[in-house]
Amino acid sequence: MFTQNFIDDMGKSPPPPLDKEWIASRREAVKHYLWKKWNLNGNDLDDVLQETMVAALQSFANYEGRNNAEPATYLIGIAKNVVQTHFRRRDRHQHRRAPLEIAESIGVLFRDEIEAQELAKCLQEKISKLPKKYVQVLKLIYYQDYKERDAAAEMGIPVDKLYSLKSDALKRLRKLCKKDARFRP
Amino acid sequence: MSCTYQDRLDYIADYVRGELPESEQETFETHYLGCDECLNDIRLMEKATLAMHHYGGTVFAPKTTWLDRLNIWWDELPLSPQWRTAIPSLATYVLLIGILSAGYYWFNSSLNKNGGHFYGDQPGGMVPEHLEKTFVKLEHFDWAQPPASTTESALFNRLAAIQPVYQARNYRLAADRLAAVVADFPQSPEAHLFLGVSQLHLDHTNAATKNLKKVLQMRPDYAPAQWHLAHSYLRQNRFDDARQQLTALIKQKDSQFSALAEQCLKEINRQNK
Repeated sequence: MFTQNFIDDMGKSPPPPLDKEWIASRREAVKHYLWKKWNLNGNDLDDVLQETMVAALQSFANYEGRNNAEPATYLIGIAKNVVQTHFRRRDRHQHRRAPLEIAESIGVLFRDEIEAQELAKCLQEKISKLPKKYVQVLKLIYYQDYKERDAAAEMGIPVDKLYSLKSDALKRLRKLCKKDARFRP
Repeated sequence: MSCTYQDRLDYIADYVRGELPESEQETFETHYLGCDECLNDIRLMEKATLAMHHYGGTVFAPKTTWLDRLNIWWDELPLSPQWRTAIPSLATYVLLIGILSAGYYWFNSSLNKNGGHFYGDQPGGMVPEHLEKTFVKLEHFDWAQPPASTTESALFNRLAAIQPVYQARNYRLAADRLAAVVADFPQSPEAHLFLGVSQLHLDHTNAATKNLKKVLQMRPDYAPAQWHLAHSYLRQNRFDDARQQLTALIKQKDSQFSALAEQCLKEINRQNK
């Protein structure tokens, strides 16, 4: 259903024009994709990102954009090719499987570990403003790694109710964090 | 361009936790590569998720107030159980004494400000310095030779009996006795006058005003009553009434009080009251 909504929505607005400026503006998004999807870090991440951007800028004139395709499809195709070439060279292929570690996020999400710790304190302030039920849901799922079904059993509520609580908690948390400059990119 | 994708936040939360099916994940990745709004939310959610997962002890710790910190500090103090009981009791005792002292100080200062009267008639107001002279003048009222209007010998005897008390400035006793005289001789302006003046000394301005007004109802041109009524008004900050009374007194050209009234009126006008 999510995918259907997503595809429907995509169909409503025309895709942005694929040009050098647009490609350059997506650098951070590509970086996040390579880091998140392909588990790249440090120099590997920088190298693959650089190669992807150069390849995208060199060959965008050949992109035909069939079937009203998003320019991001072109960009993600280039990124996949570059990253696969990179892995062939290194003789390994690695999708992210394990949950993220703080060390892996340095240079992508945080400057250093101190910044991550400060953000945690800041998050405590925000979370302390949420109702207790929301805090409990977030704690069970995001700290104690409960699956939604187990968290619902722990709290003694139906799973549907838990999903709804989780969704509301995330919305409230996002709203609180958005107001704070420390959470902005 | 604003992202129109529905349930975006739930979707992002699942993506960040790696819980989206592979095909949906790829579709979403294609989307956020072109959508700043989603990219920003993904980054925010990644940060929050990481912080909650790795620093959950901090993030979900209940926020400590100054009272909690005080409690922790108290628990960590190296004290014997006897001192642990004694110190709070002593502190409570000291606090109680402090509160009582402050209350006493406040009450006392209020009492001083109001000239020793906390309730009842509130004196206050402007009292010209030369007013004290008028009391002296009244004290020199010729008790032995009362005005011709004081015809009743019984009344004269009663007033003469009160004279020493009044002149000794024991106004409370004088007022009590004069009140009895007024009850027996309600038509005596002198009895009302001395009662009014005694009450004025006691700062019972409302009662004094009432008695002095009665005197003027009986004898509208009775200068001492006019003067003291003006004085009573001044103490109540009723400046217009006092001014009116003093003006009437000046017009009378009384040898004793008119000059005083003029002086007093000038003083009121000078102070722009």
